[in-house]
Amino acid sequence: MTTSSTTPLLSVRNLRVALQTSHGQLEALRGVDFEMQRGDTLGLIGESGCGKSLTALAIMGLLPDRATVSGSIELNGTELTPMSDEALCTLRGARMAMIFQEPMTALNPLHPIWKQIAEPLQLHQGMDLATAKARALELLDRVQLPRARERLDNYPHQLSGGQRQRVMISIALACQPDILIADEPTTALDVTVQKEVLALIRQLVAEDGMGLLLISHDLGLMRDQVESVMVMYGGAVVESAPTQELFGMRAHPYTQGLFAARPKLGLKRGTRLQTIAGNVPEIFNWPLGCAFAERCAYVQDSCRQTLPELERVPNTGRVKVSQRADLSAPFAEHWVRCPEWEKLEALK
Amino acid sequence: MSAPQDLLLDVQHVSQQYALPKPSVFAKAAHIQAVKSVSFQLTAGKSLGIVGESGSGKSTLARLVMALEKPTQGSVLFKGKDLNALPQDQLRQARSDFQMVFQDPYGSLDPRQKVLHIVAEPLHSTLNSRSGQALSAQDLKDRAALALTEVGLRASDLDKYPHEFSGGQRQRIAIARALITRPSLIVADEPVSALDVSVQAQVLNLMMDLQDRFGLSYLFVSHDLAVVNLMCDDVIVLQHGQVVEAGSADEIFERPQHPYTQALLAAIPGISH
Amino acid sequence: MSTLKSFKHSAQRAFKHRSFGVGAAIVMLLVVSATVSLFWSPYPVGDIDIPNKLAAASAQHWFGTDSLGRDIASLLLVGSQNSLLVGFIAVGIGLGLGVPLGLLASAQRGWVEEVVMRAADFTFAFPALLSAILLTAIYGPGLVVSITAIGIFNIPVFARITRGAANAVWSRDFTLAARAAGKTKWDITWEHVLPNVASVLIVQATVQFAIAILAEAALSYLGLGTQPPNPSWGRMLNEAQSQMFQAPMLAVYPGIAIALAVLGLNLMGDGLRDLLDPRLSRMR
Repeated sequence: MTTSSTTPLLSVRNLRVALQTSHGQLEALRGVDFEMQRGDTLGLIGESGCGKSLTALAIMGLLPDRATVSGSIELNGTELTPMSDEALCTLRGARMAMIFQEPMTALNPLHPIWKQIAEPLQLHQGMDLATAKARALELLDRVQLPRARERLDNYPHQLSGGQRQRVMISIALACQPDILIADEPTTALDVTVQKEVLALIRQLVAEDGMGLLLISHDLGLMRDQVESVMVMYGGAVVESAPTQELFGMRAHPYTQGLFAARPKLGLKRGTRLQTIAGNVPEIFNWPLGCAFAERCAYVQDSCRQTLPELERVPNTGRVKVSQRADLSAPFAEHWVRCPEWEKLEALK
Repeated sequence: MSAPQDLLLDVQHVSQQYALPKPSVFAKAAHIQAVKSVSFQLTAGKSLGIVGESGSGKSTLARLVMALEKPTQGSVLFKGKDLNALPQDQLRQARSDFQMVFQDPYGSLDPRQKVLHIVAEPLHSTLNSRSGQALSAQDLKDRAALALTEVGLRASDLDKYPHEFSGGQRQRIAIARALITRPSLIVADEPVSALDVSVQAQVLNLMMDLQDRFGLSYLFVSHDLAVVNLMCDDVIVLQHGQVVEAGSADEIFERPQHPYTQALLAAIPGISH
Repeated sequence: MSTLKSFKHSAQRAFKHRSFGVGAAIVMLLVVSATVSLFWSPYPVGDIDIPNKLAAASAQHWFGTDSLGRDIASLLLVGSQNSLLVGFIAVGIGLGLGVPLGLLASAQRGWVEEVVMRAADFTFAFPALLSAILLTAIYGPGLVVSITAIGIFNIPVFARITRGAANAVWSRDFTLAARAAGKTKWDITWEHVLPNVASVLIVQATVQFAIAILAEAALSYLGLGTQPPNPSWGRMLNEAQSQMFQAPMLAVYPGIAIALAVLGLNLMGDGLRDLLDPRLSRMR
């Protein structure tokens, strides 16, 4: 366990988000806790409706008006939750940046790309247009956009999906933020392009020593990209561990189901995939306790009543985890939100 | 080589080109070749995967096979008949033997129609085998209810609208619609790409069960190599509208020959490098 | 049974929506006035009563009288008939001819679409009022001619909107699925495209209705619309002009009537847009 005397880059404590819907006020995020230092790479994985995008938006302060946030979000020691939108605007794009899934809709179709990259520079660093344009070219070179000089005046529709995503990355990195949040950055891209863009993100994050919060539904992606992973279901983190450890051993029934459901190359033709019984419950149907209760083969009555606490899974030594002394707590360790996890282990 | 009678689908040198919008009134329209002389065959009961990324022409190829577009060159033979040479009414009749499942579970169902109408749509021109008359409303309802139960939904779902269902359930409805005429071939264009991993597994299992049960053949278009490997006996790899490699799924994925196929395999995230 | 329930639920939701509720109430008031005036009005509109001309509002004449002693309240009531008639018929012409043209253009694409859209552009290019004047110059002024002129201008409006909305529907996979099921373009247009563009058309119809009322008032103001002795709000405005200093209220009453009708329709249209569209986007 790392005890750090420096202020964490990002500290999220008991983050809860309630949404006003036609079914009344519903809790969409039920207490998320984590901490990141500069240079940490953290993955957030889950399926639709688990709350992973909500977590990212809550950190950036980009939730819609009908959402109520409670809990604490600290960026470099500054508490973000009570801040006004104007105050948050000075931080967004400057100290914390986000890239999104669909580069076509995230870029303004009416502005040339250099202008969109120059925008945060002008806004946060007070650069004049000429300097900003020059800096935009430097950034485009950095994200390895081929023939960047010729492309400066291009509009988004003149670029391919992968190229647009590179532009979005350069916009995000323009002011050298402390943390980069990437919400499904490569889901809309071809697999060969995806590989390049992810490698680029990895390289830039390492070079700048930024923190990276990567959100995805793709397990394989997590293996390559992040040092630790948090698995989310029903608005809560159900398991978190260093990536290698998670790929070696899963403690939560949902995580096990998720890993087992992936089709892998090498499976015999016609093999039936292991599925998780039932369906993801709608937000207005979330039970009081664990959201996975109705689909869980090991459910107990107590699971249905109250949301279980996170428990530590000791490293059994079965899986070789390279001990990274500089991994922030709690990610050097394996945590699971399931009282029955030991039984699952015994059954294996 | 399969004897012609066993061939369910014989695609011969199909090409498709589109005219791009003209930059000015008097300029000549430029053309884009979406599909360049693609050929392949599919035997009854087997499944063929079409692998490619965006711009490979795979969706265009799927539409050509479904005779939803006419190729600029080449022919599509289904059970020996050239689909594009058939007169319209015969083509319409023939359609009950090949159906399609689309990628987007939200766009492929008419939001204004009830599930009953959606699922029963392919039956509109079917005649009752005994009476020779058009199917009655009760017939349609019975067959639609049967189709729904075959895909794991309930007969009571007939009365609902698409927005009342999740993505995975909508895809099941789309499969029920494709299944209702008991086709020999189902063309599936990225049928699970828009679904979550756990839902994807359920739908893939369903598709495999249906294949065993009804002796279906799938033409499975996807960019996901692991899924194609699971579902298909044979594979063709498309790049820029051309077939760069073809063979059995085992051959292609274990011993890829073409650099593009190798690049696709290497790009799968999480594969230990 | 379920359709009745869902209709009731929709109606309840509709009236809770502020814009729609207020707009619908105003429009209903208009419709009720017009209907009532078919059978009764405080005074017959033909009744001239010179001794009592330009009277102020009183118990006998709720809004007073005009320069010929006619009861303004009656004029307003009966005048509403014209306004509604013009609205219904003009929008009816637009829907009846414009929508099929738009659907045809969208289904056929190619040169058919070009021809239809250019014809619509051509019609748009003519200033509406000048064309109405041209028509009345040829056929003489009157209610029928003004309705026709206004109706003709609704055709390209609906044709354009229908075609745009229909194109968006054709690009969705369920039309492709219908083609794969063997349906013809006309089957698909009737069963799939039309129901999915209906909400856009309904909203536009309320807007066009309001425009038609304004257009009729403008034409009548110019003396080209409804002819005396049939009352018309537009002509009441014209007649009020000469009395601007003696009896300014003469202009205010028909002005308010026109403004209220247009407001009610616009609010209703706004409300309908909110009620009909998010339903579709909430489906995700």
